Amino acid sequence: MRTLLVVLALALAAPAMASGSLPFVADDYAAARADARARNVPLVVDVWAPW
Amino acid sequence: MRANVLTDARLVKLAGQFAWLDIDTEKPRNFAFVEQFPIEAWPTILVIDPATEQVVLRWMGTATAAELERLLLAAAKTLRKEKTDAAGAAMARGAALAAAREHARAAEAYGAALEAGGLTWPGRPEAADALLQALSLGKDPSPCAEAARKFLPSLPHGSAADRVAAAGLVCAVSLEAPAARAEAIAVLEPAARGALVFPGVPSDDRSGLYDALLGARKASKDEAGARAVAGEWLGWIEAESARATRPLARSAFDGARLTAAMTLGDLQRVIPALEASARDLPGEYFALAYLARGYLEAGRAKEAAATARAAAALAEGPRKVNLLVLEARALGAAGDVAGARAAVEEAIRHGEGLPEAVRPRYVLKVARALRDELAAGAPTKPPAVR
Repeated sequence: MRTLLVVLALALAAPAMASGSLPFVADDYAAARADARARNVPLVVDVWAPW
Repeated sequence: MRANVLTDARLVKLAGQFAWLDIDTEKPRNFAFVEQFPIEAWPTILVIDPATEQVVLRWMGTATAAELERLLLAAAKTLRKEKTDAAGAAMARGAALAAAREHARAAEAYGAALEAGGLTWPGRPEAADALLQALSLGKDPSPCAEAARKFLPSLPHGSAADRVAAAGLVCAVSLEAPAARAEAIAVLEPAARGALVFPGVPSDDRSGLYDALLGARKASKDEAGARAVAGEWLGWIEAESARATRPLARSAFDGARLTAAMTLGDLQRVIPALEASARDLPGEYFALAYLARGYLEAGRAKEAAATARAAAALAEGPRKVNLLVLEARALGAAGDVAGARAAVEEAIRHGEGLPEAVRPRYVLKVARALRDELAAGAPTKPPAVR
């Protein structure tokens, strides 16, 4: 399930990359961390709030 | 940051070198993340080692794309345990200490980095900015104001110098001793005013500078001066937001718009813009929140209460407490004391029900004080909405 989530997140992110933005995973630390571990890269987190 | 910096080509080219996550701290599904990685400022950029979950960079507030690129690459270098020079090593040490929220020790490390790097070190602006961030979180504002005075003259004119000037002036305004406060303001206020024309400064940072300048005039009990700054700030906001092509970018100025208009006592000037944000961003509680506050300040208490209620219905996290307190104030101002009591009780219930890490302690204190005021039949005044 976790792998599926990561794949899904990356799939959703792919069009965003193509249009010139960063492939942010929204609000899912576990999935983003799993992606970072799988690719052996650091995880960048933009922590924000709508205000 | 989200609209401009994180879409910059300079950062997009780093896409494959990192994994990317955004966390909205108002969403209940992210409360566990905030418990694990407590946040002290919004926005904050973290870089996390995914194997150990250690934070290697905690950058609070804004940054330009170029600054963020340098910070991210330095964090990646730290994670790879690559060798660096003395200034880089001190910066990495400061970042690790800031990540552990040991801000006093982080400030010492940033000071050492500035010392080791010297005047021509390319990392000097970010190091000075990081130093001010760390010092701003201390209880005593003196070291922060002193550091701004020490380092500002040697910083290149740009966004980091702008932020150092703003943070230093805010610290100067916070100094307790009147003579020291006046002396620090006398030095830092002209420097901050000079920073208004620095090139390449993001609009968030420039707005922050106006806010600091306004605070300096208010602290100096100079009402005419404060109004002059607010007028200049609002004129700039109106020109900037007229250039914004998307409602979200335009609404980014609404908090500042409201603050400036409140100082001028001219809410009518900004209410159409606040109404436009609420109309163009349906489902966004923050747009309704600013509009509710604007209505309340303009004496339109019933509209303020209804708008605050609509905003609170859309919010789930800590800021729902602010919105319910705002509704209670508006109902109180409209003469509906029973409604005001119910709204403030709901605010307290919601706030107390939140996990400890995200519980808004200050707003809860305000809510309890308002409950007491209402019980005593005392008049209410509007709370801060942010």
